[in-house]
Amino acid sequence: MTRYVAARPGAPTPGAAPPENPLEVSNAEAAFAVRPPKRVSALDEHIVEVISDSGEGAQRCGQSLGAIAAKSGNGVWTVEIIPAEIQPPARSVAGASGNRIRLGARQITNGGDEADLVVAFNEQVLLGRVGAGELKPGCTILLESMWRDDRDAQIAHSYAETVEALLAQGYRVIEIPMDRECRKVVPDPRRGKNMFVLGMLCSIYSLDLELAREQIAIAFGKKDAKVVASNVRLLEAGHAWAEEQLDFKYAIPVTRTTEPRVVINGNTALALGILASGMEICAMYPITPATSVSHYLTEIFERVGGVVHQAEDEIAACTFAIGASYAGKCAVTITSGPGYSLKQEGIGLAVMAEIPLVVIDVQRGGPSTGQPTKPEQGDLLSVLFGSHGDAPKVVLATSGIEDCFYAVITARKIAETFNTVVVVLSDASLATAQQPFPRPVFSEEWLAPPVDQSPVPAGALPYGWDETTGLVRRSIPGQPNGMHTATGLAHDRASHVAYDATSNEDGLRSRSLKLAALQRTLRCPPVFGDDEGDLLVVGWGSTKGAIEEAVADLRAEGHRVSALHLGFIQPMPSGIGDILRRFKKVITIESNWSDRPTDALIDEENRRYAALAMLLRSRYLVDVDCWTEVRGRPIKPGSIRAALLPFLAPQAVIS
Amino acid sequence: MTMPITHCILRTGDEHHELADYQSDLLPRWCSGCGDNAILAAMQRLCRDQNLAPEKMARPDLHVFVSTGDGDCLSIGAAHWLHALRYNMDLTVLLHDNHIYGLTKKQVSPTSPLGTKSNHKGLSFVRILQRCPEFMPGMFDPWVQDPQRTQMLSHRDGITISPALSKIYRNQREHDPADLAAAREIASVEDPIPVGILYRDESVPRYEELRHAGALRTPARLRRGLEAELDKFTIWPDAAPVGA
Repeated sequence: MTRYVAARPGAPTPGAAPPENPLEVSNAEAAFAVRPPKRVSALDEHIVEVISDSGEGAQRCGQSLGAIAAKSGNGVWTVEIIPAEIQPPARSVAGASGNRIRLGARQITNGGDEADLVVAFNEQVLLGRVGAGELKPGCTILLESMWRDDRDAQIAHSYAETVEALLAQGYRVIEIPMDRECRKVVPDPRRGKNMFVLGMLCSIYSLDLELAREQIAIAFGKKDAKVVASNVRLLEAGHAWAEEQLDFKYAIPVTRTTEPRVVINGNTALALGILASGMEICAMYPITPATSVSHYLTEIFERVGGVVHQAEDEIAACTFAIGASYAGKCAVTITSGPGYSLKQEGIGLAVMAEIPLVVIDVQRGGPSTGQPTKPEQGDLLSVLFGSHGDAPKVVLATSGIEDCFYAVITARKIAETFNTVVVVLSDASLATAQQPFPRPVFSEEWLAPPVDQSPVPAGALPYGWDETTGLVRRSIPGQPNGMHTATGLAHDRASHVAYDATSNEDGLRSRSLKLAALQRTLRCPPVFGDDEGDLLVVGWGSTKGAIEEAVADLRAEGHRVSALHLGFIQPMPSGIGDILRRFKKVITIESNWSDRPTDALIDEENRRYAALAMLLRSRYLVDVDCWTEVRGRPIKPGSIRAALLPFLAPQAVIS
Repeated sequence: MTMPITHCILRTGDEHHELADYQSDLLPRWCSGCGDNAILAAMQRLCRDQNLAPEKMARPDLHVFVSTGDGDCLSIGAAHWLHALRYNMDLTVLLHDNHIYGLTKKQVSPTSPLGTKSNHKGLSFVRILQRCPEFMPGMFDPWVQDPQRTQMLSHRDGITISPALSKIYRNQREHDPADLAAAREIASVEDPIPVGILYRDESVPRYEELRHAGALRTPARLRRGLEAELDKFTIWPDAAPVGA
């Protein structure tokens, strides 16, 4: 039986004899045919996407590819492609589920621009990605060909039409009989086609098949040994097929490291950070995209004596954590934007009563219900100022996967040292993106101390605020001589209800001073690039990798541009103003809405700036501009580059 | 079961606490005649009678009393109240209910039902009908004037009513707190007001039983847990140097 491999413009209609094809071999000839030698192209990096209907396993395939490449020594960054519905209709443009895997010779810090190679299980999900502008011109598309002969004439027609159109647009479409090939190995290809695809990709990228077998054993370790064996057979079948049938192959150089690395996503990193911080109680209510943090934590926390409490609602989750913290040890509550809105009153109580609390907000599209599965950086001002009255709290944002782990540990320490609320901002893109980073080395310094039950010194007041720092030694229920009434009402140093203006002001002043006391200890983040120049790009959160990649590219072309990325946003370290003033222009890049100056109604009297731009302008009195994109996906380095070029003088390229 | 709460139970080796130990220098500012005063006094006597250490709060032995008002409990906090009942944590929730007909708590009886609640594991919910002298001063007058309009629930597994109290409150009913159907029926009666233990089920699993943290959390244990998890995700460097 002949194998039809590569499609060309003017591909024959179904039923007609296939054209002459040098790669076409019959079973009888295969053993003796001389295969054309495969050209192996060396690449610095490639962006691969695997997309399918929900439930077909494209995500698992992509994650596995990422892990295998990481183990081989490639830099890797994976991005999950998530449909908005739990069961989107099959073969639908909006229902694409899968993974983007960016492989490189060096460390990769973001998902990159457009894809170089896409494996698609049907043409509809493929069209979804094409329509979203996610494919490079001339992208190689490996497309499941079973639809060409589908009994439903509409499907067959749609498939054929799509292939024609894509070829005409210059894409390199290769139709692959995945379903047919899988049936040679398993009776039901719907479970396992993704492993066949994994095998193909391992061949295409010259990855070690043994590593792939190991990865399958790990990924399906909890299942029947038969499942693992079947998946390995599919893997090998896909690999063999690609070795024989495809005329291209890539090799991306690896960088060997001498240190162990972990490959996890941002939400897993947050959970491990909670474990490593010594916190014992995590209270949550399920909300996309934060839920997986506590799901994973539930699996591991009880082994170390921790408890994950699923509360009846977001408010209860927050107050449960506050109650637990009040009893002696800082607790954490995890949510996303809508949940954070609900928690505001509880957070205010924690600030007023000076009960330590860590709140994690994995941001998503907003406002209101917004876009639950899409990333956005829309909650910054809400977490800074959302609680009514003056409720100063610490806010920091994670800028990468590794950062998610350490940020939680830092947050817990600050919360308990300053008796305050610390908010850790992540977002949906970091939640599911994976990247290898150095394996953390355990340190006892990370851990919360045991609950202090020593007697409170005689004369010590429960809110005996230090005149300079506003700090007070925390008194924990149970400490002898420490009994007092904790309250959300304005109170004096003895924690009596304060009716007088002086006591109230005393409290407001002290709680504000605590922030300054922390601020004095913070170091200014380093400038990426030169300390002065024409343009400074300021960012926060998950945009760091893309911003620095774009800035590095522009610098290589001779532009005098630098980048600054903030971790602590409240309070901000000293020295930022000086840095801003050393550049001719400052612009923030963020994924929250700012009005476009080109819109007819917008002028400088009404233009709404992006969140960080607003903060920087108001504090430093610098005319900080902003460029924002809120498209439910990480901002691409290419988009940033294009956005910055108009602000940069034309430069001769320095060779 | 009758509890002799007029006696102070002193266990050998315990510190002895006076009533003053449970009184703070924080003077409440309730209206004169507010039932909160009575409830607070009853709580303090209970602590004294049980000899609860004022500051001792070893985590698993917490004695936690939650005071809530009828608005807090039944309105804005209703959802949380329902779930608190569901969790069945070791708590005693006191509902200061001053918006419904009922018996004034201004004079606390020596056989106050509060006394028995602290021995119960899991969640105890006590609804206290409380007169608000400022806004509802005459609310409970009919019940105060006519003891027949209060029905005391008695049972050997509930509250035994003293002879002195029985002389005044002759309207009594034997009610087994284990009888859920009868409890529901009694709970729906507003006049006469039923007083006593409506329902008790100690077989319901407690939150603490289900969510017990287990062994001691030492740094070594945390380290082991963390390392075990990191191992699952780690790529180890090659032992040997790599060729091209």
